Amino acid sequence: MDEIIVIALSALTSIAILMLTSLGLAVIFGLMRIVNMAHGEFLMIGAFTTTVAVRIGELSIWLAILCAPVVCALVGAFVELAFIRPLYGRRLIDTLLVTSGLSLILYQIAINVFGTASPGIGTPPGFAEIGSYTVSYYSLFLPVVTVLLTALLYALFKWTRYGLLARAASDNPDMASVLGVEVRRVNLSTFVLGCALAGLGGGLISPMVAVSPGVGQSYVGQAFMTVVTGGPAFLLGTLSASALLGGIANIVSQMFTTLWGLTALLVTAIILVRLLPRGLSGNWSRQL
Amino acid sequence: MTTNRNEGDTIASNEATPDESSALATQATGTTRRKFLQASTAIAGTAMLGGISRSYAAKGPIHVASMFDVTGGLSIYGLPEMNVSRMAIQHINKNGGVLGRQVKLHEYDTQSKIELYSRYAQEIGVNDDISIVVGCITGASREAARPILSKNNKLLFFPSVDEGGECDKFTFMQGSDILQMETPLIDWAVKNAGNKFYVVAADYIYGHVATAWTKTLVAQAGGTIEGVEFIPLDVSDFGSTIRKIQSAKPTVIMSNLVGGNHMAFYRQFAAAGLNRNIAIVSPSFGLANEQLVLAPEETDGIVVAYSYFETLPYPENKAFVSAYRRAYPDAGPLMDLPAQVWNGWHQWKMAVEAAGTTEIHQVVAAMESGIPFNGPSGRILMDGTSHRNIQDINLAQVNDKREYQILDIQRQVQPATTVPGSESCDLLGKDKNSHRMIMPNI
Repeated sequence: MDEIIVIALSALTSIAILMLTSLGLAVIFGLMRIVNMAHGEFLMIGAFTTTVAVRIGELSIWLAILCAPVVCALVGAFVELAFIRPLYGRRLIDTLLVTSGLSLILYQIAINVFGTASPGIGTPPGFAEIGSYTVSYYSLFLPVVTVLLTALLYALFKWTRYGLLARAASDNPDMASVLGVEVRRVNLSTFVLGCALAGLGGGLISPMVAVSPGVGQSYVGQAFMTVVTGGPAFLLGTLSASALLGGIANIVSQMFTTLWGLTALLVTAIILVRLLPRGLSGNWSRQL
Repeated sequence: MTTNRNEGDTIASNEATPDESSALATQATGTTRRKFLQASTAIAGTAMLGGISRSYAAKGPIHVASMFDVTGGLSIYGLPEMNVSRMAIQHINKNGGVLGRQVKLHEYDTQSKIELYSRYAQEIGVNDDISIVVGCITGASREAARPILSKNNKLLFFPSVDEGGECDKFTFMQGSDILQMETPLIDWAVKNAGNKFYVVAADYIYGHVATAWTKTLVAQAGGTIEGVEFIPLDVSDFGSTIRKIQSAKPTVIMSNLVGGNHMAFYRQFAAAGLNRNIAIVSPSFGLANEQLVLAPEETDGIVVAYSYFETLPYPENKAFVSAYRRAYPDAGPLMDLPAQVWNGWHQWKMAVEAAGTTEIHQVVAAMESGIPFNGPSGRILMDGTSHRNIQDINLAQVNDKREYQILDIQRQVQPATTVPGSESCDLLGKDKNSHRMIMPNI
């Protein structure tokens, strides 16, 4: 019994990590259709911001995590104005090239600034005892944040004026523009929001992984897979895809090995995209 | 064209292969593309008439090369290794060079890409001037470069800790092998932490061979293996592994994990509170300065075994460390790999001077004769049979201040000559013409 609870909690953590590292991409790629190859680097910037804020700024870990989206939003605003703005409405491949280049540049800057091995921060201490098992509190905290964050974003896109405009500006920029929506400004806010979410994701995972310039890169592939599998409902689709892929990967890892867990994640994604080419939410009536 | 490029390169400039200037990021190249083109066209015809570049080289410096991943994912290892390589050559030149000639280092940044190892090995292979490479980081990169280099009669000195099995007349290994490192680790664990082992290992050849050794050595020491798990290199979520370890209830973890993503294991292991009563021993922890990246409370107590630590008390080491700090004040602590690069260049220098030439067979014979060298890691001596160093192995424990405390020094430990479940290597006897790698049978 203890074992089943621990396995379930561990699966929840895996799902949360997948969701948190995919959310930013869900907004930038899922909603705005910008292939953001620099997503991993935004995660990395968030993770480094948190680490630096704790180590040098001597902030508490929780405040430090909140610094991550702020810094990423600023970087995101610069990136949007300088590189992404001319690309709206162009082919996907253009954004792919620009963001790939950006990814290389940000990565190398991080190596030059932080070096290859820089001191990290530990996981906030404390663990729960479940029978003969122990589970870190922080790994239980992540699923809670994930649910809250998703609910908040859902409310933002569903019920606020900004949310409506953001969806309009992405869906049909010409029509939105004709109707008086200032598409450029709305796109800027949405891109910045996506970057901030990636930064927050990076900040939240930073106490669980080793933060190095390459830290984001192992998440990019899975994040794209999750968002693509999620389909057009960029928020709840991505959440369902995270739950399915993260859950399967973790449980297969528990039963067999980590390699099989990773394999199961890929195989599930392939089968899903084959059976539901428009993604999990392809046939849903909701658009979030 | 390739030949022309290399001939032209030698004469037009000793600095850089012009169209690969990005690969030689750290070198100042004064050659413009135009100058290079002029020089190479001028040379193209005459070079074929014979021996121009060779006779030029005989009067000039001795050309040598290093291939390390200065950029990309493996730069955590490659950057300090290239730094030390440069420093070693400068040091050798300042002390009169080799055979009275200056040594010219060609730096190749392999950018953490295996295909660049093959490509640069080919470039070096057709370059008549370069006679030796000290380089490569992973076993995979070594196996990409080694066959090409040795086919072209170039020496390769490999400075990494590795799993063993290399059996090539033209290749020498400076790093310690699994047998040298895991024997003292397992002995320590059985004495101090109990004899129930759980093995976590990186899921590629190093992890698998290391684990085969772990199983053999644990059985010899009277311990049991409670579980083994191989982790792909891009995994950083260890939730399921942590749960399995708790189910298996071992007393010791043998960590054969490698790379940046795997550092998360130690963090998540500590976060779940497992470090309170399960010890960790590892032959790979610390190579990428894990003790620095992780928090002190997460690494406190982990036991490792290497032939080199920055804190070793030898005068050669003090000089080495202070020279490194002067040259690279911002670089992190020195670990085993860069120290082995230093050892490699000095062993080569001594062998060339003993042989009186850079001719490969004579240098190999001099290396195999076993000329002792006192370097930063103490005394090392090449074992001709295995082409591996007989060297000291230090058992050390990470303390709560991110430092290594030496627990025990094992003097002059012999390297392995066999591969688990497979054959042995004797480069003085049956394998004296071998250029191969013995694959483990596991």
